[in-house]
Amino acid sequence: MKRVLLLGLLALAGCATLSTASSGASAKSGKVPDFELISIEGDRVRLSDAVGKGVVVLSFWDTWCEPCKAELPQLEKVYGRNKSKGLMLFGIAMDDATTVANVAPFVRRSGFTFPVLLDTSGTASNLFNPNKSAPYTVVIDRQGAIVHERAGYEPGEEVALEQKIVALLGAETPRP
Amino acid sequence: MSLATGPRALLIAAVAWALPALAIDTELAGSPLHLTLTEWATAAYHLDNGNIAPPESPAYDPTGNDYFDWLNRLQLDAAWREVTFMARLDSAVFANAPTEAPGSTRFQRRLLHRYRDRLDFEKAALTYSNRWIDVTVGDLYTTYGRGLVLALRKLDVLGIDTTARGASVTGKLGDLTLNALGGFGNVVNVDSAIGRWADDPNDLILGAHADYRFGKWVAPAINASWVRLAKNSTDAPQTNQDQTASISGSLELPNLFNHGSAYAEYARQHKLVNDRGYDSSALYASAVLTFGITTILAEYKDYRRYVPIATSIDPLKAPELALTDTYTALPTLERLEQAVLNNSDVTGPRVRVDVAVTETIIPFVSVAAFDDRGFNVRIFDPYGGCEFSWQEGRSRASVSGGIRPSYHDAPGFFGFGEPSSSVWHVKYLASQWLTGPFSLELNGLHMSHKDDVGGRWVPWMEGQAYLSLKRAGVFSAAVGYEYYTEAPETTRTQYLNFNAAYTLNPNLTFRAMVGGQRGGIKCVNGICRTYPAFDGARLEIVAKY
Repeated sequence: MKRVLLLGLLALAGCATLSTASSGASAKSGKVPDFELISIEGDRVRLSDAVGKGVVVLSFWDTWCEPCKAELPQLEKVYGRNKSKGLMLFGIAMDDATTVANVAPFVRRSGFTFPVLLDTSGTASNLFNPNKSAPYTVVIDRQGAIVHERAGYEPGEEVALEQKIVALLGAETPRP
Repeated sequence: MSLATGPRALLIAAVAWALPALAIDTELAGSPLHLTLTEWATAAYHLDNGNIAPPESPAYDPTGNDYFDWLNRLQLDAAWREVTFMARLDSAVFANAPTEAPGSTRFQRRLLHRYRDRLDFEKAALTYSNRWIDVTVGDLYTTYGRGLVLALRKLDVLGIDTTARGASVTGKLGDLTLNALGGFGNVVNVDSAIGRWADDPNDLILGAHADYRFGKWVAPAINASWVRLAKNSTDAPQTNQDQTASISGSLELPNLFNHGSAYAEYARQHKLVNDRGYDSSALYASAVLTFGITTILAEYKDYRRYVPIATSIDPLKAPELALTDTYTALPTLERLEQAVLNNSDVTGPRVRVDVAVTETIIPFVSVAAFDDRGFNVRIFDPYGGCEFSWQEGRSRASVSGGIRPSYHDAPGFFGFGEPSSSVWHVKYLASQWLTGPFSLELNGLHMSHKDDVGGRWVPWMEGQAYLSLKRAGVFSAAVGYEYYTEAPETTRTQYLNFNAAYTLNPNLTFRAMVGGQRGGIKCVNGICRTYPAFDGARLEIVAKY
């Protein structure tokens, strides 16, 4: 059975190459996969409800990740400056059941205003961040295309990220 | 020592590395089809495992020296309409792998199930998802509640990655969510630290979950699981396969009038091992309260012989995998760096208070007390610290520390009330933004232990310090110093390493390490295991196409 599945994977990879060669596409476009998570406030949040209404940023993090603790306050500032222009930022806490209790206290004492979603089963990270890198940032434009992905954070990276977001917000008009 | 490579290994390497890897964005039946290929690879030369025992000593261990390994994860993800598909191919290749000298059995135990080249079709899943139903066929990741009943989870790319290979259906009817799943246990087959392998346990796993959300205010839930091991814990004849049935009920208050949240879960478990039944229970509760600048987290655990459900991987053949791969995971309430040797028969609370004095100064204190019935000790764990930030948050520092004494707690036995061990720790991080994209970072952890060994106090230390120079988004370089003095007669005590990371573009990152890293007990999410020291060189590549 495993051999059949392996051959299937190889065939699929091969098809992918052929298709790419014919289309020559390198930009990622199209509809992103959807997920539904519960926020720390108890709200149900579905990605597809946000995509198309603005530029969506998914920030994957863990409470034990030090670079995440450095990045999230910077993202909060970027969010504060751009949410009125259509930026939708979702913090996605990848803590599993053993540490998820630490998520809400960290968010509350840090004063974050963007929604923080709990991904204890790995629903969203399996779709967008299968290596479970932390932090991991995904930017989705209004057409539903992933236009930026980045693992890790070092001080100063938020500048380039905000420039990219501002460019997307300025370049795009909301769908009716 | 012998060369373990051959045509089979070369084929594995070729398949893992040379697969044509390019993304596609195309259309299928008028809808966008997006394919992504993610490649993660680490290649390491293990020069030395830190063992310094003389060859005549029983502790002498050359089985982690002078070999090369290459571990690879190649994952394909596809998204089309409401359908997603993933498949992952794992491979492991070893060269110059240590072997037993002809006619010798001295290292038979240490070399058991190690250094075998493998190519595994590790994970695959096809999911259909919309607002009302999610159906997955293949590998399932699911956690019910706080993991007391079922936790099929992936911690990271090299760590625990346990799924049930089967099917799962989740229905959403308004505020009611129902889930049922069934499958067979599937674990990552090669332990990355020492190259030990195990086949998938294939234990039968059934689970069911229901929750109802009364708006954002109240969410009761019930969870149940049943695990039947594919292989019993002993070879003795028995009527029933070893199995565990678990059920829990939970109540969540996600929004306490914008001042916090609360959660409580109570679980019962019935194990059948060698045809004998064992009952156990677990209670976990947490509450978060915020008043102005003060945030309080209170947690409580009362685990009564509530042992995590282990896989049927043979602990004599693959102890590292048998210890870490479980189908449940219980919150420990402890710091991640703290070795928790018993989290199945223990009771106690923990309270942490954070005070955001200003946006840039946040001190905290945490106090915990546990009654550890497994080791008959009482544990106290107070620690505190403070986080600072400046230069608009681009520079930051945090420092924390505490002492964790434990006391013998078996009335009538020698040493009752006397200290049994203590450990104090200091953890620090300071990141200074320099200019433009440049920053400098210093971080470290120091732990000083004292253990009561037969009435004699044995002190030992472990820790590390790293100094890094970083250029945001492009590269970082670091030098690290690590030490571990628990067994100075058999394990080297000091290690120095040099690290570099380079991001060629957002989808291609290289990381390299040359030098040594300490071994010892390391804990991740409540699961602790002993790692060997490492001396050598390691290259890691992460590519996303």
